[in-house]
Formats: sequence, C-alpha cells, structure tokens
Amino acid sequence: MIRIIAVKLLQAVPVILIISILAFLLLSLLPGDPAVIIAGEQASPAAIAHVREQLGLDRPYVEQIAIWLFNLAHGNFGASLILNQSVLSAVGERLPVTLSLAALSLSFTIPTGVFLGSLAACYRRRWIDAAVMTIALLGVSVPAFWVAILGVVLFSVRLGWVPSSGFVPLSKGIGPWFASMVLPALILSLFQIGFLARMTRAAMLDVLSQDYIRTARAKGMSEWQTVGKHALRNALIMIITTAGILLSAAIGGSVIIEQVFALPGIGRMVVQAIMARDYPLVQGTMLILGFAFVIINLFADVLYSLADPRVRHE
Amino acid sequence: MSDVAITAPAVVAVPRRSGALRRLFRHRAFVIGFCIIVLLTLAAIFAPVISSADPAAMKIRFRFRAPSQAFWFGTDQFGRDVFTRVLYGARISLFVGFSVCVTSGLCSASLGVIAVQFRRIDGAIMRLMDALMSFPAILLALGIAAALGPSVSSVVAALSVAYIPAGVRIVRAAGLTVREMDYVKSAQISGASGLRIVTRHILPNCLGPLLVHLTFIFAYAMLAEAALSFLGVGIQPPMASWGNIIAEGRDYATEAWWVMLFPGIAISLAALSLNLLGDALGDFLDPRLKGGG
Repeated sequence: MIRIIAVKLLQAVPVILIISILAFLLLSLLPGDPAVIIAGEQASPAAIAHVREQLGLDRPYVEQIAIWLFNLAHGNFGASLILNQSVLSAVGERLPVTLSLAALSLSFTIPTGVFLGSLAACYRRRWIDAAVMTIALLGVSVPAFWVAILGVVLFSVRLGWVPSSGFVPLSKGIGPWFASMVLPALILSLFQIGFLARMTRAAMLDVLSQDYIRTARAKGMSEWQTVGKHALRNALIMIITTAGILLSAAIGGSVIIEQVFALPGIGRMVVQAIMARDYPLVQGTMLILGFAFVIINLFADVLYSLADPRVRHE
Repeated sequence: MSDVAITAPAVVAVPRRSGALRRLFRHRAFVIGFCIIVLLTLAAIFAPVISSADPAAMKIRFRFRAPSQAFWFGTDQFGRDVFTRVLYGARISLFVGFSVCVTSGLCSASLGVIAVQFRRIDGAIMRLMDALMSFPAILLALGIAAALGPSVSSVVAALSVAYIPAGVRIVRAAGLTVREMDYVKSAQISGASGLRIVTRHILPNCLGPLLVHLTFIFAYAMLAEAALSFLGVGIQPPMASWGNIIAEGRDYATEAWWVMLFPGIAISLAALSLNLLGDALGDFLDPRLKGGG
C-alpha cells in the first residue's frame, strides 16, 4: 500500500514540474511585451520599466525560470498587481467559497447519480433507463451558464425562493449560507448527475452480468439484497475512479457558475484578474489550481487501490 | 508477403464500407443528430439568404420587441434582430467547433503516433499530457485564451490545446494495441519502413476511436466557446456568437427573456446532435458497447 502511494507520488513530481513551467510560459504567450501589456498602453516608460523590473522580465529567460521555480519551492506564488495581496492569500481567502460550492453540489450529485444509474441498470431498456440516459445526454449538451441564468430568473426573480446572487459565509448561520448556495450548487450538480449516472449504469451492468449475481439470485436472495449488497458494492469500486474527475469538474464548473451568481470564489477572481490584466494573479492561481488537481487525482488513485484489493496486488 | 498483409483487408473493406454507411443511417440517434447538424450548418452558410436583416444593425426604436411575425426571436437592447444574430452566431460557433476538431485532431494524431513509434520520448509526451490534463479543459482554455487576448483564433487555439491530451491518449492506446498485432509485426519483419507502418497500419486503426472522440470534442468546443464568450474572454461584441448573445441578454433576462433563450436553445440543439452522432458512431464502431453497457 505504502509502495503504491510512493510510486504515485513520484509520478506526480514531473507533472508538477511541467505544470510550473507551463504556468511560467503563460506570460510569454502574451502578444508583445508583457511589461507594456500589464502596465497599460498609456503607461510612462518609467512605469513600464518598474513593472519589468518587478516581474524580473529584464533578466535572461533561463534565469527567470530558475527564479520562478526557486520562489515556488519557497511557497511564493507571486503577488497580485491590483489586490495588494500575495496570490496565495488571495486564493486562500476565496477558496472556502469555491470549495463549499463544489462540496455542496457533490453532496447532491453523488447520491442522486449513483441511485439513478443503478435504477437505469436494473430497468435496462425500460422507460426509466431511457429517461436517465436522456438526462445524461442533456447534461453534456446544454450550457450550464444558460441554465443558471434561467434558474435565477425563475427561482429568484419570479418565485423569490432564494436570493439571486451574493454569498453569505457559513459563520453567519447555516440557513442563510444554504439559501445563498443551494441554487448554484443544484445547477452545478445537474450537469454532473448525468455523467455519474452513466458511469454507474455501465459499472452496474458489468457487475450484474457476473456469475455471483446469478448465484445470489438462484439461492433465493431478494432482488433488493442482490442489487444492494452484491452488485452496488462491487460497482462502487469502479465508480470511485470517477471521484477525481467529479471533484475537478465541480471546481472547473464553479468558475462559470460563480460568475452567474456573483459568488466571490476563485473562478470569479480569475475572470476579474483577466479583465484587469492582472496576469501574475492569473498565473499564480492557475498554478495553485494545477497543483490541487494533481493532488486530487493522486488521492483518487490511492482511494481506488484502497477500495479494490485486486489493484493493490497488481 | 507484406503486400498480402496490406491489401487483403482493403479488398474486404470496400464492400463492407458501403453496407456500413447504410446500417449507420438506420441508427435512429445517428439520423436525428445528422439531420439537426446538417440543418444548422445550412442555416449558418445561407444566413444572408434566410434573413435579409443585418446582424449588427441597431434600430433603437424597435428595442426589446417580443417575438412576433416581424422579429421571429424578438429584438435586443439595441433593436437588433435576435433571429439574425443567432443565425450569424451559428457561423462562429460551428466554425470554432470545427476548427478545434481539426486542429486538436491533427495534433493528437501526430503526437499519439510519435509516442507509439518513438518509445523513447513516449514518457516525456505523456507527462506533458498528464500536466495539461490535470486541469479541467475549460480552466486551461480560460488561461490560454486570457493570455492570447480575446479573438476567434485565440479561442480556437486555446480550446485545441485543451482537448489535445485526451485525443493523444486515445490514439496512443489504439496505436499500441495495433503495434502488437501479428500483421504489423510481419510487415516490420518483411522490411516495411516506419512511415509505411504508421500510414498503412497504425493511423487507419486509430481513426475510428479518434473520430468518435472528435465528434464529442466538436460539441464540447462549441459549449466551451459559448462559456468563454460568456465570461468575456472569447468572441467579442459586436460580432455575434451564441455565447456572447446570451451574455448580453443576461442583464435583461427578466424582461426580455427571448434575447438569451433562443441562442441557448441553438447551442443545446447543436451540442445534442453532435453527442447523438458521437454515441451512434461509438456504438457502431464497437458494438460490444451498445447501449452504454
């Protein structure tokens, strides 16, 4: 077990290094002189020179990469140009919003998705199956931000059930927090339930055709017990492999949902940073997110080998 | 000997292929998807014929007209005809989707084949792909599009890069399987060049899975373009794209719901048809997966 974790960790090292260098190269993608772009077209030569010096753009390329990596190794992800804050603290401030959105939406997605997927597998080729597969198809076809806007119009403006935008921190009480988060989280999960249901259905169909399921049925076990005890447990192992994808997708999706609901999360910050040409903030945030995704995938891999002894002994 | 190995499947494949096409058109999902996407493409191409209005023409006195005989999809805050804008938006969306498909398809095919053929740099390529793939595609595209500046070409570039890693994995997996087949080995032994093996054996066998994948990429790319344009880093107004029509209509969504409703339906229809096509093609190329089971 420890060996598996060690191997996975070692494999993650080059990936993390590549992400760091890619994030560095992001600034060099800017058409023209990054210093001029960041300082603005009308900036005085002195201001441009100041930006250039501040970002170390006057140094040779290799030296810039070395300094960048050295800083990263010391936990220095750069500083925002407009927020008067380091990237790390800016991200840290907004992380709870994004994470609580992702967590709440996953708490809707996982039970619903697994339930619908199992239902579709048990009633294969019946109307329930067709309905679940249609939901899955719509989930990858309809734009999430569009549904989010329609949701705001319907539930906030017309019906007045929930506030239309803004974030209430958890410290102000669970009720107000939940009211501010429930609609965005529901909409986010709407687009993941289909994916998870499809995965669950495939895994369940695979398991349901196994010999031990036939044995369970033959010995007179109730259908409920066969499906719940034998099939679902084994299918869950396959479903766990999607955990990393689900969490990453929930964070990725929240970038757009945050924008619709004006939630002060990481996604909204990145978009605002892009608009304000605060490239160091964009760069640093992308990098931190990249690290986070690598860790999430690592965690999902380990979880998978924990759940399935066969993977462990491979 | 190598000639036998190479020509034999081709001879069999010709009659099978025409029957295959007929069978594909008997697949209900395929036909529905095919019809919708062809109709949308025709609407995009013949946009100036279908609507005589100018998508950018502002007629303030006609602002916020509800859908009617004169304005099928109503008008927006500048009195522009939403129907015409959705038609012209189709051009951008389909162009972006198609370009991303072609660009990322070509790149992933080349990178995948290089990884299969040159085992030494396989590790390096795949680690790079892992790094790119650790980001959700929309975030990666957002970062790249932000750096390149808002334009059609930067959206295409950003999305192409974002979807390359998945394609490379597919081509590589298919290529590695084919490489171990006896007929490829016998071609190798009889002295076929690396180029011949790649073009005659490896590439044709990767095309099926890649084609299915690219159909989905077409749909994802259109959805992502809309999302990027909505966030403000994609296609910029006054150029009409489905994403930025929704973004502009958003502020008036309560009073003038039609401005944002119709482009959303258009995106959904386009993406739905491509997803149906992809599912059908997948079923077709790998019948074991029929019905997703």
